[in-house]
Amino acid sequence: MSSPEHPVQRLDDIVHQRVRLGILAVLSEADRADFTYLRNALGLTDGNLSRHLSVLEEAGLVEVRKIFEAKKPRTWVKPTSDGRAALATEVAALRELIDRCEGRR
Amino acid sequence: MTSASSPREAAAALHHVDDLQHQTRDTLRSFWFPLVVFGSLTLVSAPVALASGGVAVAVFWAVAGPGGGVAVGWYYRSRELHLGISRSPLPYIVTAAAILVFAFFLPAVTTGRLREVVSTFAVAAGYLVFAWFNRSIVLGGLALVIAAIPVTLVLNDTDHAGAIAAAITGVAILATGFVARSAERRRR
Repeated sequence: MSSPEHPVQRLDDIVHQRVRLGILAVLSEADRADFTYLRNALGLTDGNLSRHLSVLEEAGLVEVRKIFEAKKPRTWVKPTSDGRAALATEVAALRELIDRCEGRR
Repeated sequence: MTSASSPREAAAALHHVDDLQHQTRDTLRSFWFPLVVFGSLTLVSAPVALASGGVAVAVFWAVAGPGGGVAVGWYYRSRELHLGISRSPLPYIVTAAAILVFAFFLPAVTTGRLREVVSTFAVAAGYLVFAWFNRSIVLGGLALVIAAIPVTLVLNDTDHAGAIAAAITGVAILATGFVARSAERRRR
């Protein structure tokens, strides 16, 4: 029985973007990651990562905390429960989309 | 990837997610230090069991367990500061506490030779949980080896089974720790 809603309709514009999807994918395996780690893991510039983090933060999908550690400023990024759920929904929708197109549903 | 996806785009997006999750797990996976710490402590507990018996072992672990936990906490905190990424320690702390609690109380509800070695099953179960957290076949194998030790000792009705179980378990954990350390170094 196919779902009444096409999986494409469940793709969230905020999450369905390569960099933001990448940020949420990294954070889904971690408790928190710092700005430098995310920048290097995703191969981004500071400005690019900042812009995407702001979008995710405004949507309530990540929490960004700037603190001083060992007298140095550090920016930690933590996924929220909404962020983890949004990634799970996105991945499920993508899987369903592939399944439908391959005629499994 | 900002508009509706084609199946090819969807597959590429899923691949991107899988790749990053796999890479992150690889970065976070490091368990040689706790294995070396707790393997050493387990090994040290063997002569304690041989010389002074069960109560002394309980006292030993009441002190050494939290002490080892602090050392492991320090290691992961240093790693977090160095790498810039970390996992929540809570599931590990809860599992380690459960191992200690079961290792203390299981001997009270068993008798005979089994009583001497039953705590080892708690350790094996704990390592199985750690294997699941880390998705590690090595830790899963270690858990099975640890579980086989008391079974073998009880079936052979071995004297000083508690001390021997502690010694073999300690060596197995310690050896796995050193193997994991060299594997981790090769991976870097």
